[in-house]
Amino acid sequence: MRIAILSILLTSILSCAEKTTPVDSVFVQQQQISITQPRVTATSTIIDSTVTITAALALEDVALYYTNDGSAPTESSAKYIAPITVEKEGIYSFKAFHTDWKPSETTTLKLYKKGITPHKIDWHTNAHTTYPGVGSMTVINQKKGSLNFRDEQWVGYDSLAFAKAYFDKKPFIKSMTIGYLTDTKSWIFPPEKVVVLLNQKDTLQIDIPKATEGETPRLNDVYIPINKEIEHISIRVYNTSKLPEWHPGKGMNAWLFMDEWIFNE
Amino acid sequence: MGFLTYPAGVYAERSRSANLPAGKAGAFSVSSPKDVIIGHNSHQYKVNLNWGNLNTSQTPVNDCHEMVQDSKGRIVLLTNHTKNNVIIYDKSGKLIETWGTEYPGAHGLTLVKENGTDFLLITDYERHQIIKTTIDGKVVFKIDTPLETGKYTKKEDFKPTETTVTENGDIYVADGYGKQYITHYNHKGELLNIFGGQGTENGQFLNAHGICYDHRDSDNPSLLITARELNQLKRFGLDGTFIETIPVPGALICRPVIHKKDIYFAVLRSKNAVHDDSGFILIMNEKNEVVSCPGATAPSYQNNELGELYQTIRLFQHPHDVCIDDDENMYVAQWNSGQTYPIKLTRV
Repeated sequence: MRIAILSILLTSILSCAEKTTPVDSVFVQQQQISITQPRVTATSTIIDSTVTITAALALEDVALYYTNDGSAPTESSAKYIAPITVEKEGIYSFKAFHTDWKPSETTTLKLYKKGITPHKIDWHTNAHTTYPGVGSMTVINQKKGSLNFRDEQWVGYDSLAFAKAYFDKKPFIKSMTIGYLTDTKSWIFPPEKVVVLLNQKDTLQIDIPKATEGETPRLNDVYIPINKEIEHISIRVYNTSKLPEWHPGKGMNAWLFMDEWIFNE
Repeated sequence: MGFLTYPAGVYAERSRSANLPAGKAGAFSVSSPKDVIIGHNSHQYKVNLNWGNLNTSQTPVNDCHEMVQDSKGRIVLLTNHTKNNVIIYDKSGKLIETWGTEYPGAHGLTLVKENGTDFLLITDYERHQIIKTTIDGKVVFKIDTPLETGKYTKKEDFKPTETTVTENGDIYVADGYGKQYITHYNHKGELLNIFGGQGTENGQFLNAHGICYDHRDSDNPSLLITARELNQLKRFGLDGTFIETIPVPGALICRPVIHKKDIYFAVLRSKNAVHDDSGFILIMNEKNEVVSCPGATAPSYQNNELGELYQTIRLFQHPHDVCIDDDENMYVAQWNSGQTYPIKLTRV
């Protein structure tokens, strides 16, 4: 008897529910609004031995998926259940899915392999006093910055950043990576160009693509192929000298924020 | 270097993003089978993005800063668009009337009931004034920068964001975009006291954005004031004595709005979000515990400490104020949302 009553009740509730969800509802429907992208953190973004990556989005019944090859995750990708430990550098991407909400944007995390540390670095220009990082070694301290420009791993310049790095025993350096922040709303732009002078002989110049309007804050890097034994290397990183037409500060100079210079073996 | 203003610790809502609100302008899918519900525990809502949408050339809005419900049950919206600073709706979202063309920095809106008559207090941070008006817009009096306190040397230092009024008509003003003082006046607008100021000490503020008279405990009435940049709600006695801080980690709370025993807040944005437009709604119960966060993480306490709150769905952009009507439904006014009208949340 109790079961019968329950089933009648259930039927009436269900039919009632059907009647009260007309297709022309004024309310927001399933799959109309997106989920916020997952929060992804790593114990370090420079890998010495292993690094643990944690992804989170505190939304009930959400499912997170990830890839490790730079591609956008789908619901067929690996499902994120618990923090993952990785040994390999690369681009790790996370995306959130839910029956009620549209999938999130993808959060990507780039992991770098630990490089060769110079034994000395001489600065010819100084960081702005407001954004000194943790001192003159900030860019070679094996610690990356976060998306928050106030993170102390960022050194901020409003003019040329110029330093010379010295290495013991002339190691073979395959390439160099300069990490920088793009956060156009905070007037932080990619460098315009990087010029390096190898062993006081060979000069290389890398021009950097400009930031675009509406770009969300992101961590970027400049990759500089070297492929030489290096005793010392002079590095000039030029800030964007004129903010573009679309920016509220057009014509003024932009900030350059760098976190790490990695010299790859 | 003087001209480089960003990045810097500024309190005012920052630069405008060009992105449009998700779904605000879009048609609803005919095949969608289900209304979604946001919020947690006792406070859950369906979302109506079409409420109050008006002809944008006839009745435009810029930022929708604050809303109140008047004694007639009408919903009064304050915007900094000087074609019509005040827009009055009925609860269904139908336009009743508009007024006001002289409030370029229209920010704070408080309803004052005096012997059965409604008045409004408008704070205008560009005029550096508080203006008391009748409900249909006639100016009753103005309060200017309180230079006589000695805390201000020039008029422009005073950028008031909010007011609140006690039963005896006393007015408290929060200078949330200025020097972070709270000034206390009698019902005629005569200065009685000043306290607060900029800083991170107990009795100080970073972005004293909102203020609210809390008389839920009628024996111990007090003031609730937000320190938005600090993600804190602070309680003071009516004489300006600091009483307590209630932390809301991750939430940039705009102003406290007391409705019955609960406190409602628009949260401008999530502290550590990638996107700037990462706001949500926060609701506290009579014990000042967070019980629901529509559009964000479910509140959770461990050892009496509230975990970080953050946006989980990209529904709201920059909520700036909430108004709870006599049906328990909520209206959300947003700053920097692409000139959109308020969103209505229907309690379920």
